[in-house]
Amino acid sequence: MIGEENSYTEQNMIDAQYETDALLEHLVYHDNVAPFLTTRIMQRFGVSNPSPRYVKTCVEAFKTGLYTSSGTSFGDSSYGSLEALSACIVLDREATDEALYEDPAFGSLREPIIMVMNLLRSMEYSNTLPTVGLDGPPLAEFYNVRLYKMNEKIGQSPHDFPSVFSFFLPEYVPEAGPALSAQLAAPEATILDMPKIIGIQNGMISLIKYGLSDCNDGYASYPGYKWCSGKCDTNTMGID
Amino acid sequence: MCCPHYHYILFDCVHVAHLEFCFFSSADDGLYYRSIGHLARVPAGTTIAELVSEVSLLLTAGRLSQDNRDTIEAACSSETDHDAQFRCIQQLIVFSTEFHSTNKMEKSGEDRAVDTTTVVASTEPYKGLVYLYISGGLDSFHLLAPHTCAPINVYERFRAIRGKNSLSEGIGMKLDEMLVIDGNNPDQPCSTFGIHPNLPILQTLYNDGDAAFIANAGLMAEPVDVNNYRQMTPVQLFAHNAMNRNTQKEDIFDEFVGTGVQGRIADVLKGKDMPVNVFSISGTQAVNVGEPGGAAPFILSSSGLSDFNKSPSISDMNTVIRSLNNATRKDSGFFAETFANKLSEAMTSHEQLKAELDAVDVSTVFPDSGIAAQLKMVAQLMKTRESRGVVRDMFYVEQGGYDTHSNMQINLVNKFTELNAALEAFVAEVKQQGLWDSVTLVQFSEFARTLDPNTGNGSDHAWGANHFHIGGGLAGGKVRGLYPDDFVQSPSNPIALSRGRMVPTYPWDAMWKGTATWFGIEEGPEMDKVLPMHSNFPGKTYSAADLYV
Repeated sequence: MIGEENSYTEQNMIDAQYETDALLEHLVYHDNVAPFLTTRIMQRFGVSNPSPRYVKTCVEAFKTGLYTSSGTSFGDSSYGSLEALSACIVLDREATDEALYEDPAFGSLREPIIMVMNLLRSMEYSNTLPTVGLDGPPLAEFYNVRLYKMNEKIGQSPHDFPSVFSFFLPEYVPEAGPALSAQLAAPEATILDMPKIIGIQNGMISLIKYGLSDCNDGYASYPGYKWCSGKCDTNTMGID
Repeated sequence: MCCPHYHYILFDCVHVAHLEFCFFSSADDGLYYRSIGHLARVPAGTTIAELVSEVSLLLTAGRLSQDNRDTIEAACSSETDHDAQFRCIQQLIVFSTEFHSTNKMEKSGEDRAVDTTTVVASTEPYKGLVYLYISGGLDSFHLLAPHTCAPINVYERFRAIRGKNSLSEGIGMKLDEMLVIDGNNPDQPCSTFGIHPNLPILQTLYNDGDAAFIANAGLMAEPVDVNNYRQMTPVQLFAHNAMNRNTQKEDIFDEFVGTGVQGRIADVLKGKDMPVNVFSISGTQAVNVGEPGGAAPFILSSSGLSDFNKSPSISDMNTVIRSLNNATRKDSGFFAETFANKLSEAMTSHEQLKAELDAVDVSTVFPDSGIAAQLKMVAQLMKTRESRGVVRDMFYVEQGGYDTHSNMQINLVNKFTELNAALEAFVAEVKQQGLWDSVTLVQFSEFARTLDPNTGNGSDHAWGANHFHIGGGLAGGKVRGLYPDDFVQSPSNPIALSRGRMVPTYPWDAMWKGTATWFGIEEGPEMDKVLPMHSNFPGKTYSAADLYV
């Protein structure tokens, strides 16, 4: 590219660098950037269909880099402050006012992995690895919580997007129910299909009943010892 | 069972050298034997009402409705053990809509309507349609390459645009690599073509008259050329997500918003009292979506269906779960209702389908790959057609990994080998079931790839592609469409964009039209609904008489 005849690009290195920089600036300051980021982050924070006023307020926060709430300021006043944007999103009245519970169109479905984390944290998951040393993998003394193949089981696994389009389509409208009639987005409904629903529910009740294991569609992998209710065969006892 | 149930004592009931293995089973007994950790919270409350409030606060931020609290209290009070009661409450709350959404919810007091579509007896013979989606943009000039062509040596042009020069062989298939087939079409610039060496099943089926290709086809709204394609094709042409979605929908102007071809076919057939099921073995897919309010397509995984709520903790637990998710008021939280509806539907369809699938197996051995497992599930599902009472089935399966921007040739060898083995097993099984003449598999991908290579031994996004279909009823053994004879962009070439990207000469509708007719869609309003753009392509679509014997 550089140095080619009839090329529309710059002919020497420093000019190419300036040109790249100019393109990046153009993209970062593009008018679409703030609303795009704002609406998607709002959706991750539990508001699937933010109102135009809410979006506008937080777009301003992103662009000015400043958000003030009850006398406290967030952000360093430069364009693109995620601190200002995040503060705006979680502190705005559309995220905090209890009156919104009365609006049936407000809120969102919850993300599968967030629900699993809620269960683990609120019910105080605690590690009970045996202190007796066990031979070899898969279980080592330093494993703490190990959720296994969550993408297949619940359709979501932390940091493991199936593609550049993430887990949820931001404009997804469910194909049945009141959200469809009202044409409301419910991104988490993208993966609300029969195998996933069965998967996430089976996994959670397995966690509650048997602890974190692989019993009856549990979220963990085979721990290398013991077996699930009713089974007593050589395979699960680790015998050849 | 073989092992006595002793607390904290190691017992050796079968001769094992390593005494550190414990032989206790993991049951819902609060002992958590087969686990690496468990939920260890000690409840702060004592009465069942206090426990329900506590868990409701922690898991639903207190949203749990009074109605559901009462139901849960009643259901879990049968547990006498305090810990078991706590576990019961947790289980039922994770089934509630207040946990699955951030809405408050209020029941209407009525029972949730159940989809009681009665099976209408039909004398129609069964037909099955399998939509094989190759995801990533299949480099389909590796699927079908020019071989012997006269008077223009299309093969030499092909090798040239694919990067053959004094320094390199380029990425074009060589003559001696190809599995040669007769084009059987005097309108083509070549008399023979070549199939990729790792797809011998396609050559076999083609020579049996059970497979055919359409050359240089793609997503179009109407016929275009290099001068007007951008404004006349209002789609992001080289973007995966847009082309994937629109290839599956085949409705660029959104005449039937949100629907896809197979979904619309299902809607039309149901309207004619032909019982039909639609399945995806690979997630929610646009191609399967029909009009709102229509029956939802089944979505399975290739491992089929696992048990739901095995060994429930309380009796009639599924009844309690349904009652927690019963119909809500029209002005009650929309997302709560969305979940409640989905869960109830999921439980019903799961029950039905599991019973049917558990009763069947296939006799052919399928290889160990994702696409093979999906096709095996398709074959198993076809066996359950009578108990499901359908005369038409449509399936979606997908093989990914074809976005070969780099190291394309090696990647294609692996992917095609995998695909070939899966198709071989599938064809064998369908023949064994006596359904080969009743089943068609159509293959699509979002676009082809640039004939011109990039610097990573791969190619980038293009448009016009070659695609195939297979089935016993096909008038196969022919290369339809119009294979390009000039791949280089120039003022005299109406269909070549830069870098060997071809403007398609035939639309996706070409294969769909004849396939839909075979499947039961009539000309006129029915076909206009299934393929809203098909009338834009006079002479560039195929009828069932063209495509089928």
